[in-house]
Formats: sequence, C-alpha cells, structure tokens
Amino acid sequence: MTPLLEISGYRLAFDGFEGRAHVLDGIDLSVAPGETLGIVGETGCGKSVLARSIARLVDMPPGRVLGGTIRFGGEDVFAMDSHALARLRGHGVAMIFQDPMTFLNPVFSVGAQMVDVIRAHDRAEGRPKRPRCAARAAAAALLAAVRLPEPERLLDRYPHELSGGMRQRVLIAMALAGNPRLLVADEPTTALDVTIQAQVLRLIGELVAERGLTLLLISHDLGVIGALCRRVVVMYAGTVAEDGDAETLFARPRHPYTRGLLAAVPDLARPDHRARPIPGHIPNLLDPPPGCRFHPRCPLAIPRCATEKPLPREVDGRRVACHRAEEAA
Amino acid sequence: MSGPLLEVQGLAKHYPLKGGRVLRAVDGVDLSLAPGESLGLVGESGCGKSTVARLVLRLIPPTEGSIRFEGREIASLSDAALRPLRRHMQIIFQNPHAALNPRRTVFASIAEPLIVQGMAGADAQARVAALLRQVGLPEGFLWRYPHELSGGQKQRVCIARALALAPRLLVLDEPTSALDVSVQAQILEFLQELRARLGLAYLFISHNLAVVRQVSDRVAVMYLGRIVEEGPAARIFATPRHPYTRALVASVLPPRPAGLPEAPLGGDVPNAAEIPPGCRFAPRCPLRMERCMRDDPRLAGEGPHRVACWAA
Amino acid sequence: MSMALGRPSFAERHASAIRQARFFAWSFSRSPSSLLGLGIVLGFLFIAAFGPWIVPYPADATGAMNLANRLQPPSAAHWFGTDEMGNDLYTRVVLATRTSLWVGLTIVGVATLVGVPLGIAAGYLGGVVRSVIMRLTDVFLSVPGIVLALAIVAALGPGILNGIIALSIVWWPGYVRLVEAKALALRSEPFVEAARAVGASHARILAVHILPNCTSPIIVKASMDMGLAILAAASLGFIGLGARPPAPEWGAMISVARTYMPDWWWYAVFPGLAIYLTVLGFNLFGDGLRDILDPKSNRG
Repeated sequence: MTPLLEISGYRLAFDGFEGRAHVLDGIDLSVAPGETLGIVGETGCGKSVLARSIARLVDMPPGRVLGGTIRFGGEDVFAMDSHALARLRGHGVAMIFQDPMTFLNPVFSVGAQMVDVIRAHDRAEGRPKRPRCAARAAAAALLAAVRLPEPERLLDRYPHELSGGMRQRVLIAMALAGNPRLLVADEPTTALDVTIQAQVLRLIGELVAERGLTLLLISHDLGVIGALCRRVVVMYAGTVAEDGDAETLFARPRHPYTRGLLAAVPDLARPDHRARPIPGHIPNLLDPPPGCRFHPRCPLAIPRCATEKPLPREVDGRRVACHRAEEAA
Repeated sequence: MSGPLLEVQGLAKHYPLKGGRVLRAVDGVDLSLAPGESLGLVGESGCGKSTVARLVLRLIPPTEGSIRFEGREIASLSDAALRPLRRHMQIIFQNPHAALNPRRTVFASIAEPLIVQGMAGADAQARVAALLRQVGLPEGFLWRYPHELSGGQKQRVCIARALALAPRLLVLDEPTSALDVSVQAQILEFLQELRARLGLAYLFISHNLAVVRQVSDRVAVMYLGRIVEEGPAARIFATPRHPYTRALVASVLPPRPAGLPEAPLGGDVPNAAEIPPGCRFAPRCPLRMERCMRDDPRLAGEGPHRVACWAA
Repeated sequence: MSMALGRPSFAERHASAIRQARFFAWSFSRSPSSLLGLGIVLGFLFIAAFGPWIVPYPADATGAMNLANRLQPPSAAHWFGTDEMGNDLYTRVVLATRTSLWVGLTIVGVATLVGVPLGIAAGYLGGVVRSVIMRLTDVFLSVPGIVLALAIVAALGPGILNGIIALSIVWWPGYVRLVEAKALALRSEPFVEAARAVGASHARILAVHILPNCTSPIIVKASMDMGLAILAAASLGFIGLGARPPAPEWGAMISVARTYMPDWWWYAVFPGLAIYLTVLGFNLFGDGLRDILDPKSNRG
C-alpha cells in the first residue's frame, strides 16, 4: 500500500545572523493511510518545523531545503504548483495548532471565518463557491460534529467570547472543513486545562476513527501521545532517534534518549518513581555535535558515536538510530 | 521556631466588574504552612491559585481575611511597612522568559534585591557569584543578558535572585510549566535539594498533578476560589474524596499508551463572576444531590485529610 | 572565561552588548532604503557640522549685497545660482542646514524630555494621575498642530526661537501617548512584579525597569520626528513666522522665492530639495531603526 506521506532524507536549515542552523538532518518517515502517529521531542528537535514542511508552510528564506523529498499521496510537495498546493492545504493536509486564540481572527465572528474557509476549499477543489447560506449550514454541521452545543448561535459569537476548549474545537471544525486525508495536530492541548484536554483529545480520537483520518500528533507530552497514537516517533535535535509501535516503545525503549525521556517524566500512578533528569543540554544547531547528536549526553556513548552518525536500523521491531541499540533495555 | 510560618484565614479577593457584578477570584481560603514544609496548590485556570500566591506575598491587597507571617499580621500593612518583611518571602514565576528585565545583565537582576534592601556592599559581585554557583551556573553568566540564556538557565537565575535575601518562604507559581521535560526534571530535582539544604518552605502552585505529587508534603485542591480538598500528598492522589479531585486525577494522562482518556468532567471551566448558589461545583458534579444546590459545604473531616463536599 | 573573581575585561563584561550591536548593524545593512536614509542623515550632519568651512562665499550667509550678481542661474561659480541680493544660494542652503539641525534637535529634545516622563507616570501609576495626564494630552492633541503653533507664535511674536517654543508645545503629547501605552503593558510583566516583590520603590521601578524598556519606540519616533520637525519649522518660516531674513533658513528662502517663480526657478527649487531630502532621509532611517528594534525581528 502506498504510504500517504513519505519523507525521505529531508534536510532543512535556517540561515540567520549567526550562521546556518541545521534544523532537520536527514529525516526518513513514512505514514500509511489510517495510521495514528505521534511525534514526541523537546525544544529544538524539529517536530513543528517538520509538520509545517509537509504543507510547505516554512518560509524559504530563511529556511533552505538542503536535500530530500516529501511526498504526499505520491506527489512531490516541493514540485507542486499553486493550484496543487491550494488543494493540498486543507483537502490533503489540515493543521491544528497550539494556541487557538492566535489562529482565529478576533475581529470576525466564528461563522464568518468558517464560511470563508469552506468557500475557499470549494474554490481550491475546483468547484464553484457555494452561496453563503449553504456554507453557513455546512459550518453549523461541522460545529455539531465537534460536539459544540447550539451550533447555530455559536456561529455569531466572536473568538474572545469562547473558552479555550471551545476555540480549539472550532479550529478542529475548520480543519475538517476541507475533508482532509491527513490531520496534523501540533500541541493541540498544551494551552488547555487538564480536564478540558481530556475532552478535546477524546474528541480528536473519536473524529479520527469516525472519518478514517490519518493522524499526525505532535507533542512534548508523552501522556498525550500515549492517549491517541499507535505508533511513536521520538525526535532529538533534528534527527529521528526511534520509530515504532507505541506499546513496545514505551515498554522497552531502545534509544538512550527515549529511555532518558521516559525516566524524566513524573508519573502520578507510580509515585515512587522519581523524575530523573537527563544530564547536559540540547545542542546548538548552529554547530551540532558530530556523529550522533545525542552522544555528549549519552550514558552509553562510545568513541564511534562521536564520528559516525548512526543510521536507523531494525531492532526489536522498531527503527532505532543508535550504534548500541541492542544493548540492555 | 514554633507555630506555623504562614497562616491564612478567610482570605478573599474580589474585583468589581461593570454592571454591579463581582469577580470573586479568591473567596474564603484558609491555609497554613509550617517552616520547611512544602504545600502544593493545584487547580485549573480560574480557580484562584495564582491570586492566592500574590495575596500571600502581599503583591496585591486582600479584600478580606487575615494573613499572618511568623505570627505577624500582614494583610493590612502599608507598602513601607512591608518592605523589610519582603526579605523573608519570595516568588518564582511561571514564565522565565518574562521574569527577567531584558535590558539588565544577570548580575544586575540578581543583585537587585540586595540593592533595594540596602544590603549590597563592596562585595556584591562576590555574593552574586556565590548565588550563581549555588544554582549551578558558571560565573561567566554574570555579564550575559537574558536573551542569551535558555529557559532552564533563566529559571535558575530567577531562583538565584529569589534566594539572594535568604527567604524562609518561596512561592513557586508553575515554575516548570514553560520548560522542556528534561529541564523540568533538572529544576525539580534542584528545588528539592535546595529545600532540604536551606530548610525553605514552599508554596508550590501547579496544574500538573504528577509534579505536585513529587514535590509536596501536603496538597490543597482549589476550585472557583475555594479549597475543596486538602491533605497529605500521597493520600489525596491515592484516595481522592472530592468529585472534582477525582475528575482531575482521572484526567491525568500517564506516559504510556493508555488509550483515549475518560474525560469524566463535562462542561467548561466556570466563570468566577457567576458563582452558583450552594456548592460551586454542583453544576458539573456527577454526585450532585438536592442539598448541594442550596447549601455551600465547608472543609470538614477528622485528621489532616479534609473535604468540602456533602457526598464525601 | 576567567574563574578568578577579579575585574573581568571590558570585552568580557560587554561581550553581549557588542554582539547585540553587531547584530543590529548587520540587520540594518540588509535594507537598502535604510542605508540610503542613514547616508542622507550622515551627510546632513556632516554639512551641519562643517558647513561654515566648506562654503565658497561665507559672507553671503547674512546678506552681503551684491546686486550686480543678482538672480544668476546655476553655473560653475554659483552651483545653485544666486538670489535677489546676489548672494550665493549654495552657501545659504548649506548654512541653513545648521539652523535646521538645532531646530529639529531642540523641538524633539524638549518634546521627549517633557512627554516621556509624563507618559511613563501615566502608564505605570494609572488611576487619577493617568486620567489627568491623558486628558491634558488630549486637549493639546485635539488642536491641529500648525494652528496651535500659529496661535503661539502670534502671541509671542515672530522669530525662530518662538517658532521652536511653539512647535515643542505642539509636539510633546505624541510622546506621552506612545510611552503611556508601553508603560501600561510593562506594568504587568513578571519582572516588574519581581521588583515589587523585593520591595523596590515606584521611583526605582520607573527608572530601572520601565524607562529602559521604552527606549525602542522613543528612538524610532524621535528619528522620524527630526525630519518632520524640520519641515514644520520650515513651514513656519514659509509663512513668515519663523526665521527672519536675512538669516539663512530654508522655509524663509522659499517664501521669498515664491515671487520669483517660475522664471528664476532655482531660488525655490534648491531649498525645497534640501527640505525634501532631509525629511526623506530621517524617515527612511527611522523606518530602518523600527525594523531592527521591533521585538519580532529580535533573535533569542
């Protein structure tokens, strides 16, 4: 089965005053239709930039693609013309971001913005734009689909009148307006309270199942990833450290960074497990460490790690980029 | 020293709004903190925990209530009378990126408390360097500006600044929420070690229950300006008695593939300007009874674990 | 990085500031229009500083009579031609630069010295103080600038000094508005709360925390205002209420030159070009400053 999304050897850098920051260093990732994939990593790992690259939302310059390809539905994203790109954004890939307040225009009502989006998708997909009342009805249907109460009345409200959870649902509704095949959610619940987060994550999970969507969920929170994703990719400083089935990855992490990450998170259900920090700090991407980017902080580092960049290989049913991946779990 | 370090009774902060309504950010809170103890304050947005932090430090004046620090009443003191007391209690903020003046060097920021309290001498530089060492930062950082530091480093500078006057109480308002997971673990470990070494008392505010569990001896759960449950940390999270606490604990996502969360609590975070009569959690409560809509429960219970609920 | 607790070197202490300065220089130099503005401003400053020494006919500055030479078109001897008294126009235009510089500096300087403290106090202290200051500012802002300036000059009498006084009074409210907004935003920043938490007084907070963080918008506005203030002073001169002849001043020159248009066009064109270039230069320079000082373009 052809993968829905296929990223091969993707390398991205940002050119700035201080030089060139190597933000993504050879990413290989493929996502099958219907998969729920989570990308987890900390600041500087490149997960958000990678997600934005899929829909070509990264400004170039200062960004610069140094190599590799991204294929969506078999088509090379960087070779798309403006029509194909307009169809990709919304109909192929839909994105949900972290802070709904900054992604909704405060001077327009929710209904006005949704009608805009719906009609824009009509045009992008080559249909005549439907009249506003039809678009409004479609908007109300979408708001109902995200379980918002009284959708008709909500259309006339303004973003600042809604709570954080409601705004995020509106964003999800807008993302669904284009009938996307891939839903990319970048930290969708980070700004929300924990009880609201549970509601919104549950909603995303149900919508993905109902509509047969493929989900790419990005988060620094292992709990969020664990709730929705069958497959997990762990990123560190622009590289993929480990990629595989969620159950086994959480149970028997093979990459030292994954192990460090799991050990660093406090767990309410295991109170005797004290959060243990990973020594060292995230590398400077202007001058990343040679070889494996994690080696300065790695408890298992050997001389080879400083000279030879580890390529991902099959270990325990997963892809792990580590020279010593076979060693004790 | 005998007696509690901090004792708060009937604390309230009300903000008048247009149209005669009142925003009751904090509406009757009782707290006490012993020297060297760590009390965790948890709740979601709008519960008033950040306001409690600022009231305890007298950054804002309370509308009602008493705040006693080391036995001395500070609720109604003037700014001038408070100044000498400020040495004993300090605060760490959530967002380290905004907690340092971008135009001042690290040295200037850490030395500020010393200068303001008239304690900076010829050896100010030496003392600031010692504080930097205490938080694990190299001396070369003295002359750097905040924008050159990472989030974790900035938070350490803030901690050094808070320690400059040797306080006895440290209020920490979501100190690690804006930081990466591994950095958070570093800071938490450091904070615990610091407390053990210096005998500080912590008022630790967070929405992250797992973090609070690790750092606190006792925990108080807040909802809409009141404390609804309080007790020893282990007990509260193992056997929560208030329906809201149970919902909070159930909403926490464990770092494992655990499937879709239960989402036991429907509805939205409430508005502190429109507090319902009776128990303020009743509109969302799965155990709601008739009595709950009329009578407002108070914290009750024998022993250290107390709940404000008719159904508990 | 020295581990000894001695005096760190100048370079060490100010490494960050030096790095930041180099970053600003690099950002600024990426915009051709900003560089053009900078070039014009530097040229203007150079001419103002060294004017008296580089002009070919210094005596013509204050109106020597040379009627045989009157109203000559531009030539090798007189690059900009001569005026109705026979004075070299190039000399007079160049020397007028100095007048314009101190006019601009004075107006902007006074406006800043009065407006910024009022604005910071209004924004930070709030309440009654803010109401009083902002209402006062509104009163001044509601009268059109030139009309107010005219009224003041009419009361004080013509002359360049009175023109400057009038324009300074017109200009300060703009700074109050600008700074009040910034101070209001800064008031709720955590680092200000932290200062209050250690017991810092209002005065210290205003001086150490609020004011230094307001400098960016002030610098941008002040640099653009230089050009506009010079233009406003020239306008006053044009209607006869600023500098008096024979003192060299661009606006006054154009005022006289009106009656000699269009046959003796050089008399009005060259002073006019001088005003145009000055305002353009300061505007481009100010734009360039705003682009690099805007927080969104700052790194880190």
